[in-house]
Amino acid sequence: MPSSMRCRRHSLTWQPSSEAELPPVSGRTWRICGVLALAAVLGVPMAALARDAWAAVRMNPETLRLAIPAGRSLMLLLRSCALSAATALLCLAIGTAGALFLLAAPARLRWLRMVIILPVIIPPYLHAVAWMRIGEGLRVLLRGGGLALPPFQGFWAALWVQVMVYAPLMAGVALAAWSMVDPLLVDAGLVHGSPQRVLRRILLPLMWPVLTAGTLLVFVLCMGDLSVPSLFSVNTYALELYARFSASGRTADVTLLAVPVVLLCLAALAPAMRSIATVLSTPSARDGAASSAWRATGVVRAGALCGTAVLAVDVAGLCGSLLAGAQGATWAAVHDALPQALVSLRTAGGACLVSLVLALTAGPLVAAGNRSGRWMAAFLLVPLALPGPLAGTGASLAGTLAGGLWKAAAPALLLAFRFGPFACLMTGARLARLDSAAAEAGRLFERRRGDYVRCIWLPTLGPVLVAALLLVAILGIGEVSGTLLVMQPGQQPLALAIYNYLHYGGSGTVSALCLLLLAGLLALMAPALFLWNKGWRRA
Amino acid sequence: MIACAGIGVSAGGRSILSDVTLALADGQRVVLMGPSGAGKTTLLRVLAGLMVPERGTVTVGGRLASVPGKVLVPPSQRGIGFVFQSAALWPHMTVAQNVLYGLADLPKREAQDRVRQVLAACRVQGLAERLPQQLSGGEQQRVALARAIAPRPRHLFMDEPLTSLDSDLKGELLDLITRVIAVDATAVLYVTHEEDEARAVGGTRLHLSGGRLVPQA
Repeated sequence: MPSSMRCRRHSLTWQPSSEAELPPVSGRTWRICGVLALAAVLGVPMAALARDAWAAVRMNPETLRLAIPAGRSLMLLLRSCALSAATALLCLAIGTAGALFLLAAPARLRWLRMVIILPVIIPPYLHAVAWMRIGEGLRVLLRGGGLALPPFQGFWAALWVQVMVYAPLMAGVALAAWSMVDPLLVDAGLVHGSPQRVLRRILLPLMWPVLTAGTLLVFVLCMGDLSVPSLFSVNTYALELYARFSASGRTADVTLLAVPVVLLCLAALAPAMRSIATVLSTPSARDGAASSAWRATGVVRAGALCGTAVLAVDVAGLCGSLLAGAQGATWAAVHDALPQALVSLRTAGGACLVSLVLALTAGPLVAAGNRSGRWMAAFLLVPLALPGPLAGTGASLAGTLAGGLWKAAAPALLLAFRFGPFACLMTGARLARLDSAAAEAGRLFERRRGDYVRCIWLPTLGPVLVAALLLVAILGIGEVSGTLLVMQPGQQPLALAIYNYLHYGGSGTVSALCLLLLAGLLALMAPALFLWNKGWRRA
Repeated sequence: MIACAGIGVSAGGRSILSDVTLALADGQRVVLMGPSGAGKTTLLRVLAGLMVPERGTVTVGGRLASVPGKVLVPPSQRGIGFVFQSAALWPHMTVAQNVLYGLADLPKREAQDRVRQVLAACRVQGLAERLPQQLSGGEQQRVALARAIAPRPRHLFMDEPLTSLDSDLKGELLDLITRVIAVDATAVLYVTHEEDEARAVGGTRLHLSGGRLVPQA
């Protein structure tokens, strides 16, 4: 076997194919379409932000100082970094431990993997609702026993909830990392060493690049999210960006103020990009062949059990508290929320359509792995690194720069701007893994025009593409950080209604609406997981 | 001695091994032949403790090592070396670290001497600090052989180790394998479907067909 093939097989990171000539039209046309689509959806908000900031700096050079953290902004940046880093590291520990337990568990408990990973689809503020309720219940319970607990608020409460939000994601990442390890490497280790030694010296080092990528992704998501910190009264940088926009409306200030956090997120995302693409395009609940021989024992099993227990508490707490809370709700509240649910569906559907165009045009370019493909992939990173409020600011400015579509459909385009890059990376990663010889054979034996696209291209790419779009829909339906800034009058989506209720009270209604949102997300998640798995097995 | 009796394994409702009984005495050489999908690799994995048998038992040195549904003696305590069909070198470790991995029981200095010795025996002494990705297919398989023999195993399992190599490299490596296994008088269980390889390794020939062992002349 040539060594180059060996490298690809043993490598944990995504190795783009140099021969990804898979799109159904010629390379040049495809490249032009890809660049235009990216410019329209991703480029316009970024250009609008840059133009706005540049104009402000030209008018008053002193505003440039906002980009340098000092005093209050430095303190907020440090607090955001501390909260995000602590969340990411705890999620790494709990998620990996949980995954190790699930992998060593008997076959009859495999369904547990899905249960533990499923909370990934639940937006952060729903976790916050559940844990606020659990915290309050615990306080009342302990007060009855003569023990006074402080309110479930502040940095530590926000940290706990954020860990609960992202630990399932890390468990999924760890399972995906495991499934990428060649089972023979584990077998070879077991011949010469104990399972603990295999874990320490072989498995964890081989999983490490993907785990690192997952940890950095969690860090970036935490840096950009304002929903959990705001509900637990913790001032963070993302919250400051939103507050600055709300108070002054000066978009240039928001852009300049966001520069340090964007640079920090880009620095975190850049080295992890390839691994992230691999993780995103791998079904997390796939049965790793390596798990057939490896069995955790002793300390590993105890630690892993703790990790799973924490994840299980989150799932049980979330469902239990929402169900209990919803009992006090009136059906009228749910009925009144149906128009908002329709707005959510319409916006997410629009975002999916735009993301489909992005994925089909930019995905193949990313998969090619050449110079322009690498630039394309780097460009896709930028929207992922922007905090929600900054992305919202960019979307609100885009209408003034480009007008037309951006004025008419800002909420849907904002969601495509924020989450469309995920679809592009997933599609690119899937295309890079397609067998180029099989694709060439498809072209060679094509007897009628369109046979190649219909019989080869779509069936192999289709499931991952649909799964990617459903992921965009799921993330889009739960998004609030950016939507807050581009929402049009009378067009409030369900997620925003819940977020607003959370600030004004109405806990029974909130729980009922949360359950409505959860049901919608679950309905979307089931086909996403099925298609993801199906698409991957065809690879 | 490593032996199995009445081994049965099935997957997806299809029988892979059926009532297989085999013994490999110390210093003995056995060549296991058979067509693709006959269950040769599965039998090696069951003997090594990497797979649990559904029926039958495996004994190592007279001690019960595997029973139906359970591995009693883990692979690392069976005194075996294993050369896989693909080299299966750990990509994050250098060649020397790959070989050193199985020598954890030896004092550091002694282990390092042993690494130098086996790398020289397998003619890859100049590659000690390279990563597996930087080696050719033939070099990778030599390192895999060095890794397998480094701990001086009592039994050496080789699962079609030359399949992925071209004919020139195959002859060269086959020559190396026969010389290396002659030095320590290790018991060898060699899986192949190539007649020339079977002839070069020598010893007893067994044929696996339809999941059952058939002795060959």
